[in-house]
Amino acid sequence: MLKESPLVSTISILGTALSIAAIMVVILIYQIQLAAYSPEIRRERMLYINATQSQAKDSNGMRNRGSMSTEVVKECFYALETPEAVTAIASDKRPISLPGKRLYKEYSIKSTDHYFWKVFDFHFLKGRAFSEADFQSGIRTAVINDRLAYELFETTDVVGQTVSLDFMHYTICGVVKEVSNAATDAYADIWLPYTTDENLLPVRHSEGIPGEFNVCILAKKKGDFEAIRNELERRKAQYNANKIEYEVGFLEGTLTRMDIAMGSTGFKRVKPSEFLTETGALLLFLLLVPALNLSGVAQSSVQRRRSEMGVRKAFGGTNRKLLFQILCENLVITCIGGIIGFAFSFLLLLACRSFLLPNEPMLTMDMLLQPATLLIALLFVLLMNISSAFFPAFRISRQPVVDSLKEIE
Amino acid sequence: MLKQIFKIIWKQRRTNSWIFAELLIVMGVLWFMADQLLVDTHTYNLPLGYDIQNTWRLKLGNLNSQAPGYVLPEEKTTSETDDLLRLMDQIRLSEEVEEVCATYFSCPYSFGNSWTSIEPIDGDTTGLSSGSFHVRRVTPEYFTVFRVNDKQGNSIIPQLSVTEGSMVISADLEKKFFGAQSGKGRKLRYPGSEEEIPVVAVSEPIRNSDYEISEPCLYTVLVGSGLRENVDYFSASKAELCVRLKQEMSPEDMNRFLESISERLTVNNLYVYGAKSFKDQRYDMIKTYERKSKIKVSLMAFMLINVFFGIIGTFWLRTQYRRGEIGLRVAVGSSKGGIYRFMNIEGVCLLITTLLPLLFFVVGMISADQIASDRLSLSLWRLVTVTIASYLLMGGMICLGIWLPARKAASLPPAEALRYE
Repeated sequence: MLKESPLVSTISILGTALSIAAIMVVILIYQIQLAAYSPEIRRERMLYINATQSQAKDSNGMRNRGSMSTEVVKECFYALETPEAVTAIASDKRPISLPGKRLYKEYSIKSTDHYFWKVFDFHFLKGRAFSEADFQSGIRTAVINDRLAYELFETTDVVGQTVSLDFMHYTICGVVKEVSNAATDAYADIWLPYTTDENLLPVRHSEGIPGEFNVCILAKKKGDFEAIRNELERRKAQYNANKIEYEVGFLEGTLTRMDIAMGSTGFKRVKPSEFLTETGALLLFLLLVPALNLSGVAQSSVQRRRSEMGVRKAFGGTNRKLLFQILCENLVITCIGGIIGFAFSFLLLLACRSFLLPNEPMLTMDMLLQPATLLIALLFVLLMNISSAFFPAFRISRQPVVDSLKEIE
Repeated sequence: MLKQIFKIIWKQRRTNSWIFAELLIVMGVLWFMADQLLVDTHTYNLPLGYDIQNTWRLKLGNLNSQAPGYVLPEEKTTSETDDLLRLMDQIRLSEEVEEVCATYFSCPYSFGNSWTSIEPIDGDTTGLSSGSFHVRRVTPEYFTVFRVNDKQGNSIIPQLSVTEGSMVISADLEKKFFGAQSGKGRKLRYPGSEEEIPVVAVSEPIRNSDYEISEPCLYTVLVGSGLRENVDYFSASKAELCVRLKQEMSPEDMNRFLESISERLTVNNLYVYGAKSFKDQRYDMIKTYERKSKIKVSLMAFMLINVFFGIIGTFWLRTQYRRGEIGLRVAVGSSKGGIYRFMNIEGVCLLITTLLPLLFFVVGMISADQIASDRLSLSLWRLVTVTIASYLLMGGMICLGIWLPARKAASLPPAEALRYE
């Protein structure tokens, strides 16, 4: 039957493919934000704090918004008992030099703690992470990724070598495989114990609350989120009770991965309803425009087959049977289109990632191909099928036999 | 003929209703996007008021207290301002460098900015608004580094007096404060202050980025004690050190250049740790706009391809279905070109029927204040251009979609076609 009118079949298939590809690109963009992949493999158990405010207790309104100091990290977060692990991270971009030679190329730096390596799952090519002892005593050790190792030393066998950051020397203790910068919390070229950087010490103003750190909390299980939030509230109240002039606040509080995927930040939360309205409207548009198209084509092609329908009916085919028959025939086309579109969406995303995704991240198969992706694609194929063929099929199946046989519109 | 075509369109309303609904939705969205792209393009092509070619920002840092070469505060004999000025002089020594300036939250495409209240004193101040304006804190060389000239296109540098506390205002601010009169030589003051600040020059209008329009702004020219006050308040390492090079350099060239002069890039505890070209800084600033535009263009392409598919599919099936009619037309003397033209007109007429609902939609949007007019005023010119452009785009796509079915219809031998009749 597809061969009967090759051009029309091709167009229906291509139209479906285009729509499914566009829809899947939108889905994949959210999936990259949401799904777990190396090294952020425990995203569903994580909570994030990425906004901190220090506010004067009296009413003069002085306040500072940004991130938190190491003091807040220690008092409010390391003290938490419910989570499995808590890590504090400060990000920066700085040149990494060799001891004898000043270089100016900038790399992405994360200053963090030893818990970081528990929360995220890195693949060590050489050496190991910096230890708790390194962290506590502020020993200048560093973990670097293989790309940086190659650029500086032309080999990954660099454990024990020294790199220089702002004239300070760090000994490399481990080399990890480079990860995609889509994993924004874990990604860096070099990781350092934050105790080695005096610029990260608490500031003098606002009673030492503002700083450079954001926090990732790894819960033992997903059900612990509420307990963690409650414990954090208690810690915060305790901390603030000891402050004289200022108090710390976390604005929108702990975010789940889902919140972040929907576009929330610690400063401004996007409500699920807002997200659904906006994304839903876009998806509806991407589905509706091609569906109208295909409806037109389906309408014309069923019309040509009116007499066939009439004959079928005359020989006892019920309305429902005819409707079902047309929908099934159409499903073949939508499925073929769906498969092409699904494959095409990956190419499209790859080609357009510079403007579709922030920071033009490296894409890996494990972040794109998740079981849910296939299910969602299938769902949209079915939606596409129903929205494009239902009305023409419904109408033709309702037409009186005589009219159909006489080819009256 | 038109009457006939509309009759045909009406007769086939069943199949046409789908394609008509699609055309209508697509036209609405297309019109809206075309309008935004027009505004973006128009704004993008306005003069910026400065030139960032071959300019770089050098990033400054303070030495770690444990770093080799760190000078203890009690052993230091120079002020931070002295260090900053010496660093600028040492960079200026290089052959590759044309000029160096320092700014505070005020370089082009700077993410930070400062605002200040200021008002004109002399002259007629009635009806003139004093308010808060964007202030740029710059050393005099800024005007050379970024090629900022006065309204007439002359260099500003000779007009700067050596006296401290002078200001340069932009042409927008001049207009706001002094109307059609010249602002040069007039005086300004901070509200509540007695000090009179002379306006020594009027610069061209300055835009913050390629996608924004200019806003009234002023420059505080940092020399002498004014510079010292600024450096003491914000600290030297917070300054944006901007250089103009004589030749173009890639980031790798720049890194190599810095490596070659690295011993001159440290003065006491102040040092240069990296460089970023203003081209990159510009990109960081405008990338959200560019991303949005590209997404808009992709969506437009998506819609147009859909329209193409829709038209080609609908008309293909229709030609098969209407072979009889076409055969009859050929038989009574219609040429191939005639058939082709007839079908094209039919497609375009279908499109024209969307004009009325679209105009209702646009008028509705305008009265609901949903069409932004801050960057480009809502003129008849804008509305007509956008409408014509979007209809041309759609019309082109429709004719392209009709081409294949029409060719098939026209090539049908009349005798065979008539058989269907």
